[in-house]
Amino acid sequence: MTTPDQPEEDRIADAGEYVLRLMPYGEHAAFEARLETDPALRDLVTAWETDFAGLTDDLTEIAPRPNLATRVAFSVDGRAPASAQRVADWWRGVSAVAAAVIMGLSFQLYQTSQPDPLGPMRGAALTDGENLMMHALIELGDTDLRITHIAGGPPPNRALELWAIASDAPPVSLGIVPAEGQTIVNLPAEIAAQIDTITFAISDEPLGGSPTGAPTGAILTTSGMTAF
Amino acid sequence: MASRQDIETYLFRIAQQDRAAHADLYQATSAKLFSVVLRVLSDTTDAEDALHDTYVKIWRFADRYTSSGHSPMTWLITIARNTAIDRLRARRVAEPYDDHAEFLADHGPTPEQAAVAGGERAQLHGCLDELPVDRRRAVTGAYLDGRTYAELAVEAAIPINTMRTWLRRSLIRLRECLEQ
Repeated sequence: MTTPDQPEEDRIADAGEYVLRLMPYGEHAAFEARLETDPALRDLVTAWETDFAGLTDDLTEIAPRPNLATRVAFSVDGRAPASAQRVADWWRGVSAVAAAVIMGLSFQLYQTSQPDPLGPMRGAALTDGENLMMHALIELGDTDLRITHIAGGPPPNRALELWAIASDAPPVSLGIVPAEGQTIVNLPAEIAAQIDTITFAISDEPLGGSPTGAPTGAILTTSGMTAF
Repeated sequence: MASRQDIETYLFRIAQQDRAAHADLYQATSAKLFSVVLRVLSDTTDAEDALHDTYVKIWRFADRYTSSGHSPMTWLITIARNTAIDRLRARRVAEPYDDHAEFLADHGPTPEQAAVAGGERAQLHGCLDELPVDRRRAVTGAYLDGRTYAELAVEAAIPINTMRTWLRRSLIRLRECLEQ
């Protein structure tokens, strides 16, 4: 355990391991608790974080895809309840594998229903991290977006509406998400053409969808498309 | 190119719920932070999700920056890297870390922290070069690639306890060199 009475070398090594995220989980939690009451230990952590950050100068900067800025902007929108965002963040990390499995399974179902060989596919897993999971599949170059309900639904007397957001345009409604099973939505040509840079979002709306043509309720989830 | 002053101004405004400042910070820093998370995660989709989560955290916790004792880019890089490491470890179904310590607040920077924040990064490369190459590789593998002790040990073909001893000793040597 890291204490003020430990030899300084041990504290230096502990702080370095902590910053490098090498400590076993129990040690990491104990060290973190120690930081609250040990300013000299916090100094060591800050020193390591500052020094190690210099290693990132060796990395070549890479701009992310333009639609990520849109996703971020929507996520910091004040209408999204903080709790839904935190849970969605958690769900993304933990359920990435589950989403991939589900995506793989419905891709197989999609494939067997098609007479012709499929081209490259795009898919998105849309989840709010609590009970809602939908996913969207499209063959690259096509305009038919298949939206499959996996789990969950809107609160009573509300509806969930799906939106497609291009980087430089207001959200376009793709209608109410299906309560069960699968729906095919025909995408506007300009949305389908930009599928790799589109952000999909689900919002919580009154029954029948947004009365204004733009999202009015909380944004429950956003996602771009993944190639597979 | 945004200066340290620009970044600090953005963070100050973000702490006051200024969304335009958050968008400006994103434009100024996203390529840098994306390179950090992509190096850890390799997968573009995972990296984009991690970068998204990073900027949401920045939005929520910008008020904690001033009391953190870091330079602004170190603070941002640390959040980005820790977010990516969390995602990497969750992907491997290891226990995820709870990453809120970088948001330590309400303590204020100590004089040492303030001095360190203005420190010189170039020194690290010189000090790293003084380590044997296999130790240096372990340190950079841990920081940039998010390697665990188990992975580093396998890569170096040595027992985990030996790797842990190597790394702790290397950290002590590095700190001695950096304090010169």
